[in-house]
Amino acid sequence: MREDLQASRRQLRSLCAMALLSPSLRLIPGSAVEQGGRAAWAGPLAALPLLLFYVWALCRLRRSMREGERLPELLLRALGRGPGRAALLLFGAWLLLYTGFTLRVGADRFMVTIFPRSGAAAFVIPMGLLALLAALGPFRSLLRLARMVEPLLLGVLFSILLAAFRAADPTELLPLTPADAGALVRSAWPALDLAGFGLAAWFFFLPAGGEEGLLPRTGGWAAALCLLLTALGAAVQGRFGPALCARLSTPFFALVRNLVFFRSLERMEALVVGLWIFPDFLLTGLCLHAAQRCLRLGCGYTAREGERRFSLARGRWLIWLGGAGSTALGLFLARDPASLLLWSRKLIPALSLAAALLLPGLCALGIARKKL
Amino acid sequence: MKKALLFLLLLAPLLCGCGSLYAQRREVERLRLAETLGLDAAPAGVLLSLACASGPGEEGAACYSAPGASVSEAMERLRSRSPEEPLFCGHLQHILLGEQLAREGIGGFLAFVCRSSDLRLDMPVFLLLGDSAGRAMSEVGSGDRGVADALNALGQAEGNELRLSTAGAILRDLERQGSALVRCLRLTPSSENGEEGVLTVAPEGYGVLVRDSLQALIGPEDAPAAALLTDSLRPCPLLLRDAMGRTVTVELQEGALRLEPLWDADGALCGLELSVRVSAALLEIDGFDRASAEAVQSAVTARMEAELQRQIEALLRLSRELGADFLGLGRRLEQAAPLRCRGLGRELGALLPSLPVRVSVRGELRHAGDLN
Repeated sequence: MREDLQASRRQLRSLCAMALLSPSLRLIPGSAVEQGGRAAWAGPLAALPLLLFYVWALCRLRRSMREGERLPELLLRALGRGPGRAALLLFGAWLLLYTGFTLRVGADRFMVTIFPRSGAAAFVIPMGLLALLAALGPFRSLLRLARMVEPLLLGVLFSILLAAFRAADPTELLPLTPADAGALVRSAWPALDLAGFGLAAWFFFLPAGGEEGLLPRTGGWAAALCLLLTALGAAVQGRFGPALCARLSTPFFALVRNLVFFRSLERMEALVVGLWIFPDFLLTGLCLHAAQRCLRLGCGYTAREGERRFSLARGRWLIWLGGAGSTALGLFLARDPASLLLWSRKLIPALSLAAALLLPGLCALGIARKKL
Repeated sequence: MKKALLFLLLLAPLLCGCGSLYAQRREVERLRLAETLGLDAAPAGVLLSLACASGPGEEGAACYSAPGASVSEAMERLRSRSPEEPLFCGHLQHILLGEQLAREGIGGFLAFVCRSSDLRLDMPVFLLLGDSAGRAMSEVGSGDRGVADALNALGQAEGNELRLSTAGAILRDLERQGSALVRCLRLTPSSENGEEGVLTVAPEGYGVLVRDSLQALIGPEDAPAAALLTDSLRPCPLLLRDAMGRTVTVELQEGALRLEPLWDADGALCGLELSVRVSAALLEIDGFDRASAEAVQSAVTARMEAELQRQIEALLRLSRELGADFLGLGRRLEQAAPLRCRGLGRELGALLPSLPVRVSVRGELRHAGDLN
């Protein structure tokens, strides 16, 4: 039983980490250099103390959970029937918006890098259908898929980072002086948002129980995420410099386009962009799963294990509605580059960070009021 | 989920980027592989030229040109000119720009390179002085050798120096310091195979881009110092005159630059000290020299130091006249004294032209070949 628990936790960690790869390449270093200039690459390291505090706070929160409960159930119990349901519906709506936005930026990545003459619908609709299929099925399927693609995605990412570091210019990264402290704090924002989202997702799906060693393990995982984001930022920023990074829409994929492996292998961007449909799929699947949990709980339905994929019982029609809604959002959200940039670099990160803070915050508020 | 994974894997080849699977599929044998892109200013906007590798069963490399109000329009015209043999620009290797275009500004073109899914930021960019890029594209080389072969040969000879002059490096420098260096070429008669009237391209110093237009030229006589100050020195001959007016040729082999800020009593930056160390080998002295080895060594070293000092001072004078830090000294200064330079609270690049610079060059003659 304990081994099963450990295995599913490993799978959940993989799922959250792989799903994060999709927004990471969007925000790091593009959004970070806008905030922090040359100090941007070190932003994730600056975000680490706050993230560790966040992990500690969430671990403390889990003490109030009952056996088998997850964060949404705790929220409902802590806030009470009416406010709890309203909060869950709000979180469900946010997760649908985030799914739609992920579908939209995934399509944009394809159009910007390899298919400039395509429309967003060609990518949004198939990926929306796949995400719906994932949300209709059992959650453990997503967990297994994440474990399967993790070595491939990390292998590709590390190979690219290694090749990029060889051509990086250290003067684009260093020196950092005390005068950069403000910029460093500002550039921690995207990493806070990304890792905060990943940690919130991790705690959202993590059932109560097995608290022993949870804090150091999750803290270590948060530190590893920050190191990965730091390496990603340093590799891209070292290659293009902060000013040019801030102007490129997808600096990471511009970097991939310019890499030559072994002096013969080049133009690998299509393959890498193609591979990145896995993180997109995992992220949209994860968000839709989370959204349907919130929406069904908010509407008074209780999900059970072993539900049939195409059954509409126990509020499962909400999954179809959520899938259709998020795909429609993907089609109609931020249709021009300027608004996509605004959504991508300002609105979604702000909402994401707010949601990551609000979910445990509301739980803590309810617990304090009711003395659970 | 297995079905979903299988579906994803089946979908992946469709995203391979080779012009999509069905709609734009082309047989590789029928593609005209463009190797070099040339761009000139024209009354209508621009004149785009593409030099292509010779196809199977063809005698020579081909060049296609088309005018257009923009690069994209000219590219579209070229593509529609030969639909049965589509031009493939995914493996373009070099960019050759006409002098007139560079004087008018290349910012728009560099932005096009960023946006294009065909072009790459690490493509070397050359300026052709005194001629149009279109002429070089069509007249350089003979038989199955074209301008791409000449530029490839130049690239192999120049090695490190070309790092300065890629589209990405130019963009990065323009963003960072408002000015950049770009490699210049000139058309010259080729001596290959003893053929008459065959042209090739030869290095002709650097062009200085301020903001995005060509503002000044650094001739071949000052090019070694420019390479030295930008860390891109490769072994190159340097011609000197000795006390008796004879020509002495040394080969510059390695160089290192140190930049020290000079501070006054109030802690204000009052000047710079630029120290250069360079090592060289003696290649040739006009006439038969009977002087002692020590006398020749000290005389040649002194001449070499004086010549490099003259070149460096000429470059610094140009930098002052243009008010542009195209040598990147501001960044180097910041590396040398980060804390104090950040404390100035001013952009160093803008400060540099007003500062006095003390230049010192120390040369070392490593060997004089097999003749004492």
